[in-house]
Amino acid sequence: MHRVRLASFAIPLTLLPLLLAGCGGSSPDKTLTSVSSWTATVHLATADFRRRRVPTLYATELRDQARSALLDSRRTLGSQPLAVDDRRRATASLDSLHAALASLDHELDAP
Amino acid sequence: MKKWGELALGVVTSIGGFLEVGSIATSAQAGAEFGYQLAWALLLGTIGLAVLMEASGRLAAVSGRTYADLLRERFGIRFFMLPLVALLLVSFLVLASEIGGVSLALQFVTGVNLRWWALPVALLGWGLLWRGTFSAVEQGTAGLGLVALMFAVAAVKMHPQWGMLGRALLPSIPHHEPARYWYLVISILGASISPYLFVFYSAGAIEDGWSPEHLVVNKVTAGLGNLFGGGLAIAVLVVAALVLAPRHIRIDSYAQVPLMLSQPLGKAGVLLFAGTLFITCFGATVEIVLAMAYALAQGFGWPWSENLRPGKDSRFASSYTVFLFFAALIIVIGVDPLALTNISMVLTAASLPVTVVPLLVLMNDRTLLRRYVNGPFANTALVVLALMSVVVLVAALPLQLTGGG
Repeated sequence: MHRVRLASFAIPLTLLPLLLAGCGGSSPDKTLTSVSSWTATVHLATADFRRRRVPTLYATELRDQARSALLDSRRTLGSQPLAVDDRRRATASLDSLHAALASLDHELDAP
Repeated sequence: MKKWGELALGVVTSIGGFLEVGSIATSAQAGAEFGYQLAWALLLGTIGLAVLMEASGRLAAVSGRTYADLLRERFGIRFFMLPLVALLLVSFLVLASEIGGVSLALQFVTGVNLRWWALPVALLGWGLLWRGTFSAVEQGTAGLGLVALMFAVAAVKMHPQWGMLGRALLPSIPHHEPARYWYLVISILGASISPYLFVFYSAGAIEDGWSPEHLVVNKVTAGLGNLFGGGLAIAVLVVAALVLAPRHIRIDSYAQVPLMLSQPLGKAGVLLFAGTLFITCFGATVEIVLAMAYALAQGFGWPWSENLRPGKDSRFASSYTVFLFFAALIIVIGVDPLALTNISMVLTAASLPVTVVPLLVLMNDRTLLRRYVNGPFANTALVVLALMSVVVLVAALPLQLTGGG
């Protein structure tokens, strides 16, 4: 009986912290790091596409993912209380990803 | 001659088998964020997996029984439930990640969203298992897995600093983001030392009819095969370190990973990446779901063999059918494959104590292994692995909470 109880507690007790480990929030700093990483990604993709180093389909896929990341980040940062300087930094960072995306769009649409 | 064939097949299988969605993602993330610095974690994971595979292969070859079967018999059904549940849960998440990996590869080359591919991919895997034999599964994925060698070609073409890479094979203290650094160490260990791998390997030894005569094949397969496989994972890290890290690109989505191959391999790099992702993840999908069905069937004493017709081992065949279907559903409902991979790698690492510690006990049982029981070196290696797995279990949650994940 005692052993049955031990086993029935041991399994969830072992797994609970592990499952909790999967749940992480997203801080403004983390979001901004992600935005600048996506900006660099789009710059590299644009340069590579121009040199015909990546297929059109993949460049389009990357653009769509980057756009989705931009929307998510805008939503995340918009919902968080930020100091004036941080808000300015966030806006500049989001604008720079937006500009990078416009440049990739231009390359993809070019004949 | 037959032995040499088995040996070559074993090594090739391990090369392709080591690389899969988890090791590609964690190695690329490590390279992009910390340069060469985490190469030691890949080496540690490679050695750890080689030790565990050699032990489970020796156990099967000498005793003629699988690890799961002996675990239930020696420790009793109540204790057995703990490693079984842990193995099934983490393997289920890894299985979903692998199906996600194959689906992503198809998305890269067709433009059709991965969610549409998950069920056809599961159906393809199921068809291979339903109609094929163990040899078909093993050989079908082994040779094709060699496409992963393109990571080595890409790494060499990028002219890495060999001296610096060599120094990175020794553990070092992080210069920045310590929580993230140690979290990635845990993820890398989880991606390398997956319990499903040695459950599958031990069952495979029985499927292939291994005996003590195969112990050399076992040693070479576990040692050399994993060394080559680990080498390829280090090649992924090197390419990410040389292409992504200088540009401050972190891996937030799988779509960013193929971009690192456009520098060394050009347009072909993206296509080769998609091919590698498809083949290695498909191989892993089949191996994981078989390992899950093996563990369940062997633990409960059901008939099992990939060489039997499904009608002869219906519960075994039903198990892999159900697992595949529900794992594919996780991708269909839209769970992000990279987030799923990251979580499942940490959970895999954290589940290691319940599978590694019992193996240490079994490997010292003279009634099972006779003169082939563990020597001092193998025991030391397994004890170190067991202790390391406990540290990983304890550290996983605090690292997540302090911003590592």
